[in-house]
Amino acid sequence: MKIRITGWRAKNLRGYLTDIEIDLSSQPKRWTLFQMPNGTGKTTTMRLFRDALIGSNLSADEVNSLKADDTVENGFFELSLTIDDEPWRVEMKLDFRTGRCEYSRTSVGERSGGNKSGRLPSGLRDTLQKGITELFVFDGELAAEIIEDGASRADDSIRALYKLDSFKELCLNIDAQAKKRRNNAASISAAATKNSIGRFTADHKEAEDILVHLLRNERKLLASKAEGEARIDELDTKIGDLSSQQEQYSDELSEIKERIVEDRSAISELTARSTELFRSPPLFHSSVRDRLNSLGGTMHKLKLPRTMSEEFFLQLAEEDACICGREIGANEKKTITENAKKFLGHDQIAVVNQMRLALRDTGQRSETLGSALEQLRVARDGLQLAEQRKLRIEDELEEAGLTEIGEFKNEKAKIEFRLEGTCEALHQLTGDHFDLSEIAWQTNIPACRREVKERLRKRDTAAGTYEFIQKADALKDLVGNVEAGAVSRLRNRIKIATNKYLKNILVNEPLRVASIDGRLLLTTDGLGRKSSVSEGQKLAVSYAFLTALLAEAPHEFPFVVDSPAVSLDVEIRRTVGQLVPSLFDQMIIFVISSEREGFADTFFNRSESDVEFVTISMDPVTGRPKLMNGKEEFRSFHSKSGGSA
Amino acid sequence: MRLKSEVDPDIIEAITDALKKAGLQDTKYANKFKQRLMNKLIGQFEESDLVDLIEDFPLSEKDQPE
Repeated sequence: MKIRITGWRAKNLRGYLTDIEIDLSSQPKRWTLFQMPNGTGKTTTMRLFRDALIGSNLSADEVNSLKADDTVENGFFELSLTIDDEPWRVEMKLDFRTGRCEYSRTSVGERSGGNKSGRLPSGLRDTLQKGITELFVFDGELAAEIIEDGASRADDSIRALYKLDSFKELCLNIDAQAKKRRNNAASISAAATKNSIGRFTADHKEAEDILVHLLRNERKLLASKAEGEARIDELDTKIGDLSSQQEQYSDELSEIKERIVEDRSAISELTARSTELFRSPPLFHSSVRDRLNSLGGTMHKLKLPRTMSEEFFLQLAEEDACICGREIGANEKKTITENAKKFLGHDQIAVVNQMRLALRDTGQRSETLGSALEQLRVARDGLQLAEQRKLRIEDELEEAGLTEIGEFKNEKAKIEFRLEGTCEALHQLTGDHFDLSEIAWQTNIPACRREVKERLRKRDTAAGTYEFIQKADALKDLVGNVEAGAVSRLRNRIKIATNKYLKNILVNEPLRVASIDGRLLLTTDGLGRKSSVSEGQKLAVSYAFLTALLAEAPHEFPFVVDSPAVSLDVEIRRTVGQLVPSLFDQMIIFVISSEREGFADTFFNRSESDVEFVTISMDPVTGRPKLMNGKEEFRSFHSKSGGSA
Repeated sequence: MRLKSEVDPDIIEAITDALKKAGLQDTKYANKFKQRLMNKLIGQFEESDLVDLIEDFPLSEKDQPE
């Protein structure tokens, strides 16, 4: 099939599509470049091309997003094309009041003459399905999806273009035939056979139901396992991060804790010593000690006669005569008794003697209560500082979440314990045990599958369909092998072709496609797999892949592209501008003025019979689009006012 | 860009390889299978073609019903 876009018309739609007619059929050119400012309808045109070809169902919001302004009630877009040289027109009538889009098509050819409502015929739409149309009316988002992790766009494109999904469809049809055959056999069998078929069918269903139940369990266990493993990974990361942070604190913290223990012990010792010193007045202060020392000296010198004590005079007062012989009368007795108090008693002399001894001993000690209390104060200040520092470190640890490390470790241990149980259950459920006799088929998936198959065989044998089903299964295997082989070969061929183009586009960069597995896996020479690429590299790889894909495709498509060079370096633009156009029989390229340098200017030297330059701008006075054909207008557009719009 | 044949040569080779792997190469069935599959790819395949392909599939001895 060969497709060519021959023009489009639009009315009451956004940007320049408010009123435009583009005709590419009267003087067909291989390459047509449309230069337009940003925001004037390039992306909308691309989108309408795709919708018209695919026959997309547009939502009311999508329809309304296309309208020129709030004054219009309806609009239309018409795409003209040739399919195998047969002219076709697809019209989209847009009703902004109801938000509806109606399709109609017109053809003068054999396939569908005249004007008919509806989209393109399904045979054509099969070839122009979304996956293919997005390739040749290039959707910029495709560039990322071709490379992105987890995406399968590269494979999907190959499958769509080469119709490899036909094989999957064929396998589904084979299954449908097998089912049909079983149902027919059951309906036409004799009563006895019917009973037998019914019994075997029930047996088979029972096994199938159990298999469904087991598979559901497997999914639950796998989900639980994945969840547990993911949480363990998460916890490991957290524990690892916290451990390395904790190391920074642990030395300091243990030093502080040691210091606190020492300070507390010192305080306890100093408190005991201070109490002891407090009981010793000479040690209160050096001045007290000096005075007491002086007193001690005096007392040391003092020699008190043993009898010259209070007791001596009290005893004398009891006598009738003094030791001098004079009589002691009542008056003398009273005077002696009163004056006896001026003399020390025995107990007081003992105290004075003790003081004398104590004063003699303390005179040798240099330590005072004041110095001990000073040491105690220093120790207490030290302890206070250490405790404050400890609290600060603990606050920092808490702030950094480091105190959670223990909780994380506990949680990890619990999850690991649970995971062990889950893995054991999974092994029981899914392990393909050698000795199946030891495994109840109701508890093990491989054994249950065998049971399902065996019961189906019995049922099919009873129904006389066994052989047909065997053949259907064998045919399905064969078709599956064809599909796998075709995918593998096409992937490899397109990879080689992509790398050939890539080598020309990225001359100075060793970026290549290593393999195609859903998406394109990239590599750089000698550096293994490359997981991140720049926007420019991404686009260069996408162009190489698309070019390889479309150049090798079983159908000929035009290549329509919007702002192809915006994110490319000037050198890469030049290579893309020289290489890609030669691979397509028709290219429609929408550019902005900043893409002239390096990209659009590579078309200036091409033959005028091959290339058309169209500049579209909005007339500021009338607000209507203005079309200007020709290289000179194209070259000078916006250069006077400078830059792109 | 040259005009391509309807079915890509790599797909045709994949069909040949799969038939060889199944031990069906150079059989009458192989030709029929190849042609029908190519027809399927170009949209010229009927339900009766499929039934025919299933019924004519040559099962190996071990797959035959007892």
